[in-house]
Amino acid sequence: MIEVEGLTKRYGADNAIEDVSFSVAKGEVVGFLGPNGAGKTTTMRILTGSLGATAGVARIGGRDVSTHAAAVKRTVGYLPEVPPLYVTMTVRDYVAFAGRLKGVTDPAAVDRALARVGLADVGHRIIDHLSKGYRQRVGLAQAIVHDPEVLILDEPASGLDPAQRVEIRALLKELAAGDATIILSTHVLAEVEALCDRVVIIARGRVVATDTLDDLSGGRRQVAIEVQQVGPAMEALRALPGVELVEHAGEGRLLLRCDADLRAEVATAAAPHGLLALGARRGLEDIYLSLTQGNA
Amino acid sequence: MNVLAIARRELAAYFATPVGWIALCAFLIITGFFFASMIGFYNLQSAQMSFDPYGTGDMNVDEYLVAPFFANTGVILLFLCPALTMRLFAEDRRSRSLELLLTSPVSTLEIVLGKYLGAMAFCSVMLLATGHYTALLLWLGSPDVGVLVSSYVSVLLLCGSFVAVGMLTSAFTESQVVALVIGFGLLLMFWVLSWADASTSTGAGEWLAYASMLTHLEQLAKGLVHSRDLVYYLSFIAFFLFATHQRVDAYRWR
Repeated sequence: MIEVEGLTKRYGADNAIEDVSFSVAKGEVVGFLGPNGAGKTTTMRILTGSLGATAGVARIGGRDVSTHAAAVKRTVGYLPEVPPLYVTMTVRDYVAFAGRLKGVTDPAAVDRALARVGLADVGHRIIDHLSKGYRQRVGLAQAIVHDPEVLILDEPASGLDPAQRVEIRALLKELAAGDATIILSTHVLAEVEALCDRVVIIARGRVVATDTLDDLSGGRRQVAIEVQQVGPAMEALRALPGVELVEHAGEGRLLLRCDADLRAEVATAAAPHGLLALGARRGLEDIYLSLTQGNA
Repeated sequence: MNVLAIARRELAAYFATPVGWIALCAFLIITGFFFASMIGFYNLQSAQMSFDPYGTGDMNVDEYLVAPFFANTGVILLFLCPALTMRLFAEDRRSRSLELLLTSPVSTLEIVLGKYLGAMAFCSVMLLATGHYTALLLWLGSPDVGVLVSSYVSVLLLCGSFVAVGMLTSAFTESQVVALVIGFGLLLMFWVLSWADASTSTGAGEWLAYASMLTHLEQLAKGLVHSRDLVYYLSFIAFFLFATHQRVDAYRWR
């Protein structure tokens, strides 16, 4: 559905992104991860046609975004980091306006979009008077009003309080359950774990990893545990058949690499030594940090 | 279709904030003041003339009332238009709402024309609101209808030129104040270019005078619709719309 090949954007001598390539299959939900300034927004803006690339090609639905801009834009919904709102309009007027620009004249489509993001009751209110969480929803309504095949969301939960964050995440989950292809940029890793099938990690303008979450974290074969007595626990675990490696990560945390899902065995073996916690898969956080900082 | 949708939103935006209402009020108060004082002056003059043995009797309403009234309206618009156009692109860029337009299947031309027509629609509302002055004149006096029509056309063209300049300056900055100041400066320059006529040698002065809005307004306000004046205003507007188009297109490359 989305193919990006060798995308490069230069500002003078600086490269905002360099040789970024990845692809997203139809219906996939891909997390776009990276520190601030890594080039996530630049990539997304090129994909949505609001920015031109210096080199490389981006295709959505097989069409080049720079040469078939209008056709591509009809199939893409985009929520920028700052929602592009006209705050003096009412919610309904604004979404209807966005719909008209995207070729939607049916008022029922506007109602559907409002209902999907939970704004049906506030349609008559002026956007300026809404809370940030609600504004974010208006931004989302604008992105989905024309039923796009591809949704590109730039940090949809940034700047929201925890309750609003949970709401938006639930909303995204609903959208992800549909058949839309979604690219979601964020630096909230929990969001990626909750929503995405796959991640593309970008740092300093380059793609440093692109994989499924399971593959990145070694699936269930990586186990992290926390014990009270590190020494005896390590000995017991090393003796366990199938355990390839046991590392002490400090503060009682042990990282194990096994040749299969051995969580039950590991738990039994570690229990006598004061097992406090056990988690499968190395945290996405660790992977993210090692990938993005290793490049610095 | 998209042009109209954008234009309608722009027009609604003027009335959604106090800015539009304040501009409309200010415009009507000032034009009303000019109109009233001109009537007073006209009455005084014609009273004096009636005692003047060499006077020709009747004073021409078109020459003594209509022409100066519309010339003054033009000056008011010179001040007002940059304030009305300063937000067209600057506000959209600062609030990032421009991204909605740029990522919608809408061409740059549609964006520029839509915003231009939206601003022009507001200016047309302002000009229509002066309709009661002309209605009064028609009721109580006998002005030449042709002159009135050509005066409205000329003020609308003038206004169209002001808006085109203001929109370009708005496309160059995220700051509305900067857009206002530069827009006003440019307009003033185009306004007074004809003054250079006297102080330059032949050729250049003529060109400068041709580039000045004042020169062409004087002709139109007399009710003389020359094609060279129409061509001047239309090409002036077209040039600034084209420049704005190029500027907005360039957003994608920054």
